[in-house]
Amino acid sequence: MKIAQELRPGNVVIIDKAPMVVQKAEYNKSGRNAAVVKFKFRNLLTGTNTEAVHKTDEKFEDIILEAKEVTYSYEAGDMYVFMDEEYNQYELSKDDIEDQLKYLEEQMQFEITFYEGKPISVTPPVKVVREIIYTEPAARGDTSGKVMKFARLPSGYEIQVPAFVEIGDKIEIDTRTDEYVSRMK
Amino acid sequence: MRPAPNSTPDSIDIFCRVIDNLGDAGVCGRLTHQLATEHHKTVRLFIDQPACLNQILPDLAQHAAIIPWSEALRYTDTADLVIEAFACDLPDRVLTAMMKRTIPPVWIDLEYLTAEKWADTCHAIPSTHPMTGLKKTLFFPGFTPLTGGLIRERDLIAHRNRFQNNPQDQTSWRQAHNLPPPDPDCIDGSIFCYPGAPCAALFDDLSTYSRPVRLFQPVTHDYGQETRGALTLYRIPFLSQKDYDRLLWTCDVNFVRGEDSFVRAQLAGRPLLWNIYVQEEQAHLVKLDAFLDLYTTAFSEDLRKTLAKTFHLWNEIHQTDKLWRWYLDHLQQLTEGANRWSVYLEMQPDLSDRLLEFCKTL
Repeated sequence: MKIAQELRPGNVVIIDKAPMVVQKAEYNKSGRNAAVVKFKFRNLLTGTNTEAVHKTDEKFEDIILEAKEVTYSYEAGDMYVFMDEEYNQYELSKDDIEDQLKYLEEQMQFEITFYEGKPISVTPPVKVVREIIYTEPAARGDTSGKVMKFARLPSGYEIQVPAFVEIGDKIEIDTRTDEYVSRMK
Repeated sequence: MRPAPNSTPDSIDIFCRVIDNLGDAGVCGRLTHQLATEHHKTVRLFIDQPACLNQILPDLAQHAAIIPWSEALRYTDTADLVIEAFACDLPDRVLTAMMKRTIPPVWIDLEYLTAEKWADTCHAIPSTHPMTGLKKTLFFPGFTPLTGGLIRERDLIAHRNRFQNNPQDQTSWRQAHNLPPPDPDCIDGSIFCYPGAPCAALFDDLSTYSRPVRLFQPVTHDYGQETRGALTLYRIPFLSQKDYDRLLWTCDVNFVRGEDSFVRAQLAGRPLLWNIYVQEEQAHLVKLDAFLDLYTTAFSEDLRKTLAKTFHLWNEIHQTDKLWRWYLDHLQQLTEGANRWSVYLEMQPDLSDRLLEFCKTL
């Protein structure tokens, strides 16, 4: 069993007796509201995509699938090609890895997951380091880390960072929640 | 049995747990009342503290069944629509009854109000509940057409306009509640806030204002009247929801809190200050800013920043700025903005209509 908050792209869960692969998981939390996760699932039997919103503590029956380490090689049209240690290549579509595009870099390590021998998704390392290519200057004197602002990664994705983070800084990001972890020294 | 597609449910069960204040009960009671009286639905409100409705909605039991929700609750006949309010967690026996129904009920998880953008994209997406197989939908009240909207009775705005345009009605209502009649020389306000709100600093500032200020504060005990300089504070008994609306309508400015009074103050078309429910890690301030991003667009550009600052000030214990006088100095312009905001809300379907329309789509 996994709770919704623990589900990541590539995980497969059983919903209404069908195996569903998580393609995208967006975590949202608010004041008094229950934290929720918005999912994009693909039904592995029918190939249809579904959106769903669940509370973070809802329990799901997950299934363990065959997986192996791969490296991202290149983009070929609408497909993204990954390679294992034995130079076997695996292609995944943009839909399959939509949620990973923000971190995707050549030679980046991933774990690829298979369902009935077919690659269905990739999972990035839990933590990645990325450079900030743009952010607004910080207000003077704020070093508390509580005031947040947006900062842009090389992929164009924007992430919330503490106000003291500057252009050119390298930051560590938790890919499970897309949250800033620390500034690298 | 659930009605055929494209029709609305006939019977509705609403589940509510009272957490710490009257807000949850207030919202659920109001929705129950509206669904029963305006939409003519058969509504049952399952609530763990039914007594708290006596004061705020004294006539609710005439229109809907109010059922005490305890461990001993027996629940076998499920309604067409089941509303789980504010993540109150339906007990297993309720879920079992829902699963046993020949045609499963529509299951709505009614969430707290938020202006945060993510609610626009998470609202009303039917999702298969992983453990029961039932379709469950998170329904987010909100301020934009992409959300579930706000509770607003059909005749609310007409009643409000009549009342606000009729000084005699206001005087009579005030007399009935031992309040002084409207006086053009005075600024009248209502105040309903959490214990952490910076009342002392507010009262200090208002006591030296250039015009008399009268604040009406509903309280549960220690009623009375106290004057300090320009400020007179009237501590009055708690009001029913119907009378509280009239208090908001008759005041020049309303200090409100939480959710229910906050929404009603917006629909009063008068300037307001919101004391938001405090959350861990200052999460409430994100929610406050999201609201201010929307709300302040109804006001002229030169007012927006300072207006937002007054909202922040009303949610801080330590006061550094004396902005209340600025607020009162600009009441006329703020009233114009508050009216524009109210009209923006009035143009949208209300929560009950959106809820029933949503049921038609399933």
